[in-house]
Amino acid sequence: MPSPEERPAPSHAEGPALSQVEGPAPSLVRGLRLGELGLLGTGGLLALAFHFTLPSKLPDEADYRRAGEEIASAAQPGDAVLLHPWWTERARLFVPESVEVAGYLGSEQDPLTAHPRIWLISQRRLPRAATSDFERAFSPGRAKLGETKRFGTIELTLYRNDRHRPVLFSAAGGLASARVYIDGPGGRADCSFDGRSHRCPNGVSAATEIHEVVFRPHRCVYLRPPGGDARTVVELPGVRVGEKLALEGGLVWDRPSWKGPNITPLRLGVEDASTGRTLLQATAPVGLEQPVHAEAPAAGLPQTATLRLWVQSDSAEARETCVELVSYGPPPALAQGNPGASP
Amino acid sequence: MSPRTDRALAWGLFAAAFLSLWATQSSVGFVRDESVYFAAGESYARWYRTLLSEPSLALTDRAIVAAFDFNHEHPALLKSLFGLSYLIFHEGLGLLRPAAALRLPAFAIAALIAPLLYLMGLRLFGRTAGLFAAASFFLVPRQFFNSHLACFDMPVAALWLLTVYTFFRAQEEHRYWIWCGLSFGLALSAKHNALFLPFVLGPFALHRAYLRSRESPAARAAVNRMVALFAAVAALYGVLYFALGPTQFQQRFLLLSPHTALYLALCTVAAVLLRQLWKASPAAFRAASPLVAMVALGPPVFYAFWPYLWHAPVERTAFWLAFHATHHHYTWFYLGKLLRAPPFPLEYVVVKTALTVPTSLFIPMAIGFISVLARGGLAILPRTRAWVRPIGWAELLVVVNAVVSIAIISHPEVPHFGGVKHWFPSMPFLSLLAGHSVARASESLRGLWARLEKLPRWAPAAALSGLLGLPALIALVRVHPYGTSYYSELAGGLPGAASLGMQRQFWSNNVTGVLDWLNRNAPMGARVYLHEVNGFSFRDYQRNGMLRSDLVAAGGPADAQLAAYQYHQEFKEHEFNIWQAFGTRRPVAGLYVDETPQVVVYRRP
Repeated sequence: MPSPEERPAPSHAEGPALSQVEGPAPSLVRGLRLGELGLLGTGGLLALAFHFTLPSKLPDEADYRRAGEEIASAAQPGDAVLLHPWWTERARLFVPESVEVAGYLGSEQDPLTAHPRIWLISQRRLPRAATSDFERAFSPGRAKLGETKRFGTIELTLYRNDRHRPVLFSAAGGLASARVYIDGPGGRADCSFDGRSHRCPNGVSAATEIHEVVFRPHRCVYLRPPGGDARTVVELPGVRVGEKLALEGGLVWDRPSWKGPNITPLRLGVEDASTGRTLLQATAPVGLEQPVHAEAPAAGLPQTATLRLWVQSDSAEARETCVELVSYGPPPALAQGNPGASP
Repeated sequence: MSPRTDRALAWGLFAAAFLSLWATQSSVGFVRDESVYFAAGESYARWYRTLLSEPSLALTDRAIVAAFDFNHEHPALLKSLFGLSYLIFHEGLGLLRPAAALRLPAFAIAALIAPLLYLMGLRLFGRTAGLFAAASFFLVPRQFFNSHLACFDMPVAALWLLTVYTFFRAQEEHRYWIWCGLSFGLALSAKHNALFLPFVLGPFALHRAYLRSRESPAARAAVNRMVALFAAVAALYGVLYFALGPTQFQQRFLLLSPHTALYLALCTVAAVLLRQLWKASPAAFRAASPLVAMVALGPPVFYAFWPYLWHAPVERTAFWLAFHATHHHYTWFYLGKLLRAPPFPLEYVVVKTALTVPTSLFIPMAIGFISVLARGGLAILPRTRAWVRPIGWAELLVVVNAVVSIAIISHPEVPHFGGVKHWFPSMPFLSLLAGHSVARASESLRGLWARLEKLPRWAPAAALSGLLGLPALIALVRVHPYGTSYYSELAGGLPGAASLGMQRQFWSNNVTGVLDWLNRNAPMGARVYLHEVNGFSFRDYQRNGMLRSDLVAAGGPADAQLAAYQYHQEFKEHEFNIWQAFGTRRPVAGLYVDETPQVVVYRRP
């Protein structure tokens, strides 16, 4: 190790950085020095305060356990839990398995359409919880059912979800009874169902699986296009038709971000098998990192219909798709002829 | 205080840093690349053993390639040290567990930062500044964490600092110029960041040599010739490159070639000019000699410590350079967005630094930096020139070194993954600037306390340093051993950073937080999928007694009974694959640091 020597003298020992002889008034120099000291002292004190107060903003396991027990005791089929902030997923350890938990980047925007009631687990005291932003996104179309219960720093509130629509049919749920085939210029090639997955030529398959579409977990029909003009078609018989049809999903994981000469737009559509009429259509352009969404009133369709869900892309590279076709019924209150009624 | 006391203090700081790393190492997990370097180190060490027993066999290219081909995208010096330490302290003496033995050299190199900062701070800004810089550097949780690892980022920061320190000392004392050249060679042998050092120090050397030769025409002539020599050699290499083309330039770079002749001519003529300079002006010699030493000694040291280059230096060095010039990009989560490919946000590095250095340490860094810049600015303007003492060259040296690594990584096309480790070489210099600010503020505090005459002189500095250091120490203790997850008070800690949408961890070492649970709950011989933990790390956890040896690594959730998912925003699909394979979305355990999910464990029902 180099041995220290006595020179050169420290620069601040040679005199003040701001001259007190020819320069600004000594009071300014003194002010700047005290300002520096004040900033450092204040910074240190605020940082200390942060660390002394942080533990009181964090829940402990017992808080979670009691909140989980509360949900378990009062949950109804179809209930969901929403997390605020979105990343507080430790709650998953304590929420009953039968209750779906929504906690992903952007989940405050999720209409949670399939769920009539929402349990909100909120930790508003966490740093940067941005509760007002959350409430702006979450509150419209939600009505509080009862008082907020507090378990340590956890706040648990039950809401009625007025954005809820009953699900009459979902492609992911009905895939086992579907007919899947490749529909190309050379004709139609049927796929065989092995009890879990429809196996098609050229490695194409269709199965109900859970995948990520822009951070959100989707239980969906997982499939990919065969490439070229051909389409992968999922023909769904016995679709109960309600108020509207919705196509939701998109490319999985990082696939939306892929770019290159072999990456081509993904087209998705839904058509009425009896007439061939296109009911829904959407395109996922190359590089667009957003889920696909299309919906339309189901007017003109019989109460039970056979629908074709299809995907196509000129190149099949990195076009793994997670898509869900849902038939929604009318809002519950309207269905009961009693607007504003609680479920 | 006497120089002897300062020397003792410097050694004390080294010992304190080393011991604190040693005392806290056992819980630090293995980041993905560290286990690769462990394996490489062991391979290199085996070669050194062969070198002792069968030197003629070991020195063949075949034997060298067999040992050193693994991980040949990084120089071998540090990995060789890791491996030799393993050979001695684990295999030979049986004193240490494998990981501790492999990491031992890393602790020693990182610990060098403390005395170097103290000694440099002492000379530049005073004792308070030096002590604060040395202590505060290791109070930054991410720096403390990385100092444990048998990797290259902290060692190259230490060796960069050593090179700058020896350069700084060489300006006043003759013997340091050789050390500067050797330090540069060691830095180059640690990581490619060091390639930028000559471009940082060269302008200082030449400018100071120019100024110091003012009084001596002979010295000035030698300096001018030296500048012309460097320019001419650079131009001739340029001509060769463009005339031959990249491939031929590389292929014709042989022992007996114009390329080698140019380098030898550069070293020889520079040595002659240095001799002339020494005779004409020792002061100008001291300014220029470190640069010549870097040019003359750096490449040979680099070559000597990397046996892989011995039989094919140019081709293999070219691969090394090309690998890093075209490094691929890892996805990175930043302010709610996944950064996948360039261009990256220009402000990324500054924002990330502000959010990952404890705020009580970041504030003095910022003030120290801004105050030096402000003085520089005021000194330029005619109207305000008289107000300030001009900034010295050494202060400018600190500022430039504080900025340069940050500026390089800030370029929107440069890979941005890895958290903060890629600009570690800037951080010691920012610590020095923080020390500068704290020393000045301590003087102000002493002025306020002047009435309390009974207080010792060091009390204000100690009180202020304690106030600034304590929050960082609390944070460090709280987050250890998950240092790459740390976020500052400005970010709102880990919870605030999670809400801001920042990367949670980098990379895979936090799995240690669930290993105890797995050891207690996994069935005998269970297949366990440790997401993002590579095979080397799995082996290392087992051979270091951190994971039961009967557990078997599974390649994915499909063939696993238990899975531990590392929370990365870019890998959410991997977690959902576990849900799909296991048929459950409910975890059974997890590592949640200040509430933020880091590692989530699932069990197949």
